[in-house]
Amino acid sequence: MNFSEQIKAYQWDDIRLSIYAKNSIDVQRALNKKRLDLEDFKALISPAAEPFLELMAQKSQQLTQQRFGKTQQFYIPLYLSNMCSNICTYCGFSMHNALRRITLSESQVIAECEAIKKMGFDHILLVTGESKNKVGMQYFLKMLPIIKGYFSHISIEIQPLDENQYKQLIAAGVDSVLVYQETYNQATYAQHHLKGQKSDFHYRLQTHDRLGKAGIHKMGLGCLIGLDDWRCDSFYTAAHLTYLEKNYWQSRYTVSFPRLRPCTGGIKIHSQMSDKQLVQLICAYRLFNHEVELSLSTRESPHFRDNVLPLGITTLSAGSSTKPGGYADKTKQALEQFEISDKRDPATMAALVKSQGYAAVWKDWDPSLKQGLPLPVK
Amino acid sequence: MNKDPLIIADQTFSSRLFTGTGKYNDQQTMLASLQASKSQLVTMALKRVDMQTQQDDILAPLIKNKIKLLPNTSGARNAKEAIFAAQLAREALQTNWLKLEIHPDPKYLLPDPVETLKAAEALVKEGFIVLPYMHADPVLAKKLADVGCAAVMPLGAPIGSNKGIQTADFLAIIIEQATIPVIVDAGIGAPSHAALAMEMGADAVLINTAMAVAGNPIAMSRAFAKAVQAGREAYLAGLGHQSQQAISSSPLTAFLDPII
Amino acid sequence: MKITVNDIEKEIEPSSIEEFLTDTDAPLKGSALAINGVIISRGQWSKYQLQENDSLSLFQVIAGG
Repeated sequence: MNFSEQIKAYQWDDIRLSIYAKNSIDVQRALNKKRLDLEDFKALISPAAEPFLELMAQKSQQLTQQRFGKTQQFYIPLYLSNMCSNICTYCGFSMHNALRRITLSESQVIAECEAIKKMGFDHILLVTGESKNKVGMQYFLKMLPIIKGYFSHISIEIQPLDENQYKQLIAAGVDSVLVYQETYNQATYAQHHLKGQKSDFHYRLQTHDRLGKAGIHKMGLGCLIGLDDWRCDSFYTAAHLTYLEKNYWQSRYTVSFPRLRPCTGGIKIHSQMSDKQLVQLICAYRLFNHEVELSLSTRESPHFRDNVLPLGITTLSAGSSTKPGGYADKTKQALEQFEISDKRDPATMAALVKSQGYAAVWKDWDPSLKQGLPLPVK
Repeated sequence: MNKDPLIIADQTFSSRLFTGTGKYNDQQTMLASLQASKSQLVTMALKRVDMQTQQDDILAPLIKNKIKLLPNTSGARNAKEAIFAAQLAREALQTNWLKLEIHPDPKYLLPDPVETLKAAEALVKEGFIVLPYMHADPVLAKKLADVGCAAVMPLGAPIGSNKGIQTADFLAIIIEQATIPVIVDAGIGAPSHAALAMEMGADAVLINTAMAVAGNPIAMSRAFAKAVQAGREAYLAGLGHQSQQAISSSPLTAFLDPII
Repeated sequence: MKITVNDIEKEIEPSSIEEFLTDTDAPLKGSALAINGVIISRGQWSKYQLQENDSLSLFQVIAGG
């Protein structure tokens, strides 16, 4: 059983029509229920829910605080490489974009880790493009022990791998893996993923199943908002999340909402999502699923982030750079994956979060219970 | 044609009311109640016969009505005894369906989670269709599903207590997380309890004591059948609970409005 | 020879299980038999010859929850 089987139950056009057919009675029913189902989620992300946004925000804030406390988990992305053999129309790392490509060497990785550690982080997200030969298992298995020496919690966002490869990475210290389907509409997916392993829609779609079977602690999912109808894609994400929670019940989950941003050689955005709609989506997720972690990246503006953080978000990055080597040496030029909007440093963000009545959490995990791994350097 | 069939392993049921055969004052009443309930699955126990007296044959009428037989391992106090009882039951009834119940405590008859999980794993490997009786423990429910049980049977309240759905909050979690059918078994004392379990999304309920010791068991069985159907229909129709919700004074979303 | 059946001692002539059970008019429907703790399947009943001191446990299905 995998999600490629499950997804057959959902016909894109039927789903889209049923979302837009939801009315305010459906929304009110959803708002009054204790446990929501996917039909309720449709109502909450439909246009009919827009007048209820304030109410949704109130509930979302309350539920998030109950489950997560008044805390925000801080993490930072570290781009290890921007080499990529895929052509994706929306991404700065796309193979045909001719700019400087870097893969960090061991000494560069160490320099980055040292710089990041000084900023206070203990949760790190390692990001690469997809370049199996140059930045593959050998590279990861070499770098992970080094990085694990610095950070308690490692997430990775790299190309989808096989179950056995994930088992190896988990043994080497990976706690969380993020893989975004970008869009769950197979035809649209094909239009944007023109070349490379990423053009295989179903292999990517089954990644979380492989991760669950490999025993990963946490996995992230989501779609790239703007490639197709965001409501429809978000429904599929929610359906995917529900399926995964049932089948891989010992893993935990996190969802992100990347909105398409300008990047080098990038496409025009197909389906716009307004700020109001993003707030609606975040609150809808929280009402639908009380336990899922919700993450807001630096793609969003400072003004937006400041106001949205207390509404349902539980995880955020700060002081991010999307170019490899971007922390130790801020002057070097390399290819950025996308333009950062909120450039504020971690100390500023921590102060902001505190002013909102939240505590900034730097460390929420300790690998010491797992055997055979190096403990983080204090 | 039933549009809402319940499928457990390879068997399809159109009734979501399962029944036990115990505690009736006589066999005739028991069979009549079963018939009134329209139940398609009944549980029964196994014991060593008294060679002197003739036992009533409870099997023939059940088999004649094509009712699924579900022998239980009641009496077993640990996994080893349950496995032995299961093998005997399979021999006796020529069915590999089994209600696994292990209660070492004879006072409250609460199920032993450790022995149950152990026995379930072994019995699934031996080809049994295992339906384990368990406390409403969501983690245990997932583990029993993982080892291959065909359904889980969490209790609503202690056996015979007729106290209803005392474990509601935990049942809700089990139902939410389940990938196999959830049959609420034990403790249901009234048709309203059965309806509630079905409204919550349970796939079926198993009733024994409440029917057997009612003033009029046959009438009570009919009532239970209606309650299970009503609860199920309500669940499918989509319940909406009423609640009070006030909007607090400081709006969280004002920042989205355009500044004029 | 001597055997026990459900903890009761009996004196019997050498016979197979099937012969013994038929003789004693024991209920056979919905029954299962274990000898010395080992289940003997119904298909074996005509073949299995009872031995001295065999301890039989004959189980039958009864009403229960």
